[in-house]
Amino acid sequence: MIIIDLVNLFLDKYILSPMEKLKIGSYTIFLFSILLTLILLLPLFYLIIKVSFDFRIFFDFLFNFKILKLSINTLSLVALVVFFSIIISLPMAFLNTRSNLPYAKYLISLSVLPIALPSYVMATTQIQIWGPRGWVFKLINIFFDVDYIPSFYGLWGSTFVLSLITYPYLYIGLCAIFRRFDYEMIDASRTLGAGISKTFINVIYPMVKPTIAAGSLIIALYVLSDFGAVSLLRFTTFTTAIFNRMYTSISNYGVLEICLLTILFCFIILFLESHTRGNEKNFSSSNLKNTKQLDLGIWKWILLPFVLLPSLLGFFIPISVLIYWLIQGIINNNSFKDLFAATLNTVSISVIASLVITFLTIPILITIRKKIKYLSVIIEKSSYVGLSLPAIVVAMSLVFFTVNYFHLAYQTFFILIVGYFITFLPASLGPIRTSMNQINPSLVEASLTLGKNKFETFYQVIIKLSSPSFIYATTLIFILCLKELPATLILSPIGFKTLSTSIWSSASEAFFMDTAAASLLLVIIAGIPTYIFMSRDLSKRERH
Amino acid sequence: MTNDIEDNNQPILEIDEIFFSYSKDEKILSNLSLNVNKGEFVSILGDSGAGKTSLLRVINGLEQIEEGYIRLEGQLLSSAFYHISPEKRSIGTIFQDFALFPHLNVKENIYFGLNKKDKYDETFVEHIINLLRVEKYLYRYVDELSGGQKQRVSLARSLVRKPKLLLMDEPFSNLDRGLRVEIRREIKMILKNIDTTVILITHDSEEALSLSDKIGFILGGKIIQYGTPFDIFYNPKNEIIAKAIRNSNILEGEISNGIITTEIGKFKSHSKFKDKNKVKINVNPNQLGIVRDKKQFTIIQKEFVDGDYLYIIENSDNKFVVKMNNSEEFYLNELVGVVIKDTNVQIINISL
Repeated sequence: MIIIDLVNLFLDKYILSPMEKLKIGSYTIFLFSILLTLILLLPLFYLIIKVSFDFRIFFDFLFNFKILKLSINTLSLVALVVFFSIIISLPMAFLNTRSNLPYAKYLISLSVLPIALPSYVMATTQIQIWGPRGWVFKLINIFFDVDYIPSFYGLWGSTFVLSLITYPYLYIGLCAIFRRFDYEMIDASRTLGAGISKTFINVIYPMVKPTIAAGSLIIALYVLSDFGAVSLLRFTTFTTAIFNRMYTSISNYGVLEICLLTILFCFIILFLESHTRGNEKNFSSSNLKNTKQLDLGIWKWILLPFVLLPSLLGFFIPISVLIYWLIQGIINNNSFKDLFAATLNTVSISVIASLVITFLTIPILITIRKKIKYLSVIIEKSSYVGLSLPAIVVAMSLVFFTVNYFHLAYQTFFILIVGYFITFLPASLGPIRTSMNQINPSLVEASLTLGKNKFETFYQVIIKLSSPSFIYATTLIFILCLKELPATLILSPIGFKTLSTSIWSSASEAFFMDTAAASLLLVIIAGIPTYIFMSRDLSKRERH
Repeated sequence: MTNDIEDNNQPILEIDEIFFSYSKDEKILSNLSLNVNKGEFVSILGDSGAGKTSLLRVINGLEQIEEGYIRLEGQLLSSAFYHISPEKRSIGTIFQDFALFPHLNVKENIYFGLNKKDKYDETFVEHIINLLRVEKYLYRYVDELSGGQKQRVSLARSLVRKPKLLLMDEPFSNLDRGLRVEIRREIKMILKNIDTTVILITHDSEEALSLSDKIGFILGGKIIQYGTPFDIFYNPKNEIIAKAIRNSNILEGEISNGIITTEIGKFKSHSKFKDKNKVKINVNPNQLGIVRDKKQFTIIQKEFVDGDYLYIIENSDNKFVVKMNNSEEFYLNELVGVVIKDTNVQIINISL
C-alpha cells in the first residue's frame, strides 16, 4: 500500500538514518519516553496536588450517600456494557472470520460500523427510536392501543447504547486473533474427544482470553469516561456529575473529588488488566495458509440475521434517523454554511493528531519492551492513565496548567494535541504492542545475525511486520479524534469549530434536527478510514 | 582444553574456557573449550539441556559470556568485558524454524542481509541462488514454500553474506524424514563446494556421524569428547557417549594380561591397564550373538533394522542389545543364551 511505503520512506530517510548517523542511542529514547510519561501524568498530578490541599474534605466526601449511589450506578453500567460487548463480539468475530457464513466478507466491515458513531449521536437517534413517543412506540400503537412503553432512559438505555458503540473495540481484536488462529488445534481437540462446547472452553477461549481482557479494559474505560450518551439518557454517572457540578452549579464543589474517585476505579480496572496480561502468550499460528472454515450447514441462514443485528441497530437504523432529520431540515430550509469549515477543521486536526500519537507510541513501546527495572513498568502503567481519565478531566487539568504555568500554550493546537495524546495513547499502544508480541523472536535474532543493527532490525523487522497494527492504530485514533467532544470543546483555540462541537452546540440547545448534517458527515469521514482499514485486511486474507 | 585436535591447521574459531548462565544458580556452559578449523564441518551433539543452543548463541553474539574468550580468525569476539554485537560478527545462523521474514518474498529475504552501500558480489549471490536452486520461487512469499524450500532459502540468505562461519541450529529437525536425509546430503555438498566452515547443533547422532568432519559431544555445558566420527563411534570416552552414539552394551570386568573377564565371557583389549583392575568395556551389538541351546535370557524386543535383526534380551541382572543377520530368526519371549562373536573390545572410562 502506498501509505505504508510513504511512511516507511519517511521513517527511513528522516528519522532512522539520521538517528543512526548521530548515534542516537537507547538513552535518548528512554529520556524522550520519560518526558512523554510526565506529560501523560500531568492531569493526574494536578488533581492529586489540588485535592491534597485538604485531604479531610476528600474523605468526608467519599463516604457520602450520594457518592455511593453514583459509584453503584457507574459500576453497574460498566459491568453490563462489558458483558454485552463480549456476548455480541465473540461469536460474531468467530463466525465472520472462520465460518462459511454467507457474505462474511462484507459482514466483517459492516459489523465494525457502529464504531463510527459518537455516543451522543447514537443516543439521540436511539431516543428517537425507543424513547417515549418514539418510532417503536408509534409502531406498537398501529396494532395496539398503549399509552406507555418501558422507559428507555436510565441504566438499560445507557447499556444498550454504549454496548452498541463499544463492542467493535473487542470485535476487531478478536477478528485478528481468529484470522491467525490455527484451526488444527480445534481439529486436535475434536479428535481427542472434546465436543464443540468443551473445545470452545478449553481451546478457543484460553487463546482469546488476553484479547478479551484487553478489549474489555478499553470498553470499561470508555464507559467510565463517556459523557455524551449518559447525559442524554439522563443516567447519573461520574462524568455527568462532574459536568453538572462544573457548568450547572454555582460552585464547582466536589468536581475534583469525583474526578479522583473515577481515577481510583480506573486504577482498579488497570490492576485487573495487568493481572491478565501476565498470561499473555503467543498462540497464533505462523501457518497463514491455514484458513479452514467451519461449515455451518443450514445454520448459516439461521445465524445470519443475528450477525447482522448489531450493525443494523448500531448503524443503519441510527443513520436512517439522521437522514430522516436531514430531509426534514432541508424541507425547513436550514442553513449549512458553517459545515464546510467545521469539516475541514475536524479532518485536519484528526489526521495530524493520529499521526503524531502513533509515532509517539514507538519510543514508549521501545522502553516498555526493553523491560528496564521499574522504568518500563511505570511508563507502561502511565501510558494507560490517559484513557482512564475522562477527557473532560484531562482538558480541565491542561487548562489549569497552561493558564498558571505555560500561558503560551493556552488554547493552542499544541495543547489540543497534547490532550488527544493523553486521552488516546492507549488505543494506539494496545494493538501495536499485541502485534509486536506476536513476532517470532527468532526473526529479530535472524536479522541481527544477518548484519542489521538494532535500529535497522527494529524498523525492518518489528515495525514492518507490525505495520498493519500501526495502520489500525492510526485509523482508530483518527476516528476517536473525529468524534471527541469535551477536550476539543475546552482546549481548541477560540473560534475553531469542529463537527463535534457544532453538533454539541445544536444538541445542547435541543435542536436535535440541526445535528443531522454534521452527524452524517462525521459518520462518513469516520466510516471511510474504517472501510479502508477493513478492506485492506480482507485483501490480505484472500491472498493467503 | 578438552579436545583431541591433531591437525596443524590454524583454527578459525577458538573458544577458550568459557562460562555462561541465564541465572546465578545454574551454569549453562561451564569451562567449555573448542577449536574449529577452517572449512571443517563440526557437529555439536548432545541431549536437550546440555547447552547446545546456548553455545550457538554465545558464538553468534546473541548472548554474552561471563568468562573466557571467543575468537574468530584470531580476532576477539567475546570475553567477560568485551562483546561484539551479532550484526558485526560475520557469522551466519540457520535457525531451527528457519526464521524467514513473512513480510518479504524469497528474493527480499535473501537480499535482506546485503547492504546496498557496501558493494556486494552480485555474481556470487546469483551463484548461491543457482546452487541452492531457489531461482524458481524468488518472488513467492515464505508461507507459500515447502519445508525443504524454506531450508534452502534460509541457507541462501546466510551464505550470500559470505560468512566466515555458519551456525546451524537443528536445521533438519523440522523436515520430514525422507526429505531430511536427501536435503542434508545436498546441503553438505553445497557447503563443501563453497568451502564454508560449519557448526551444526544436533541431538541426532546419525546426523552428526554422517555429516561431520568432527563431532563435539556436549554434556553439562562442557565438550567432553571431540574427534572424528570414527573416533567417537569406535572409541567413545565414556558410557554416556557410547550409549548416545549407537546401541551399545556396557559390561564390567576384571583385566588381567589384556584379557577382560566378564560374566558372559572373555574379551581382549590392546589398551594397557594394570592387572586386576576393574574396567568397563563397550561391546557393540554385532560382537554378540544369541543361541537356542542355552536358556539364560528372554527376548523382550525385536527390530528389523537395515536388513538385520536387532534383539533386546534380558534376565534379572543384565540387558543386552544383539545384532543378528537374518539367516536364523528368533521370536519374542523366546528363551536364549548369549555368545561372544568378536572378542576385541575398547575399554572406556569408568567415570566422566
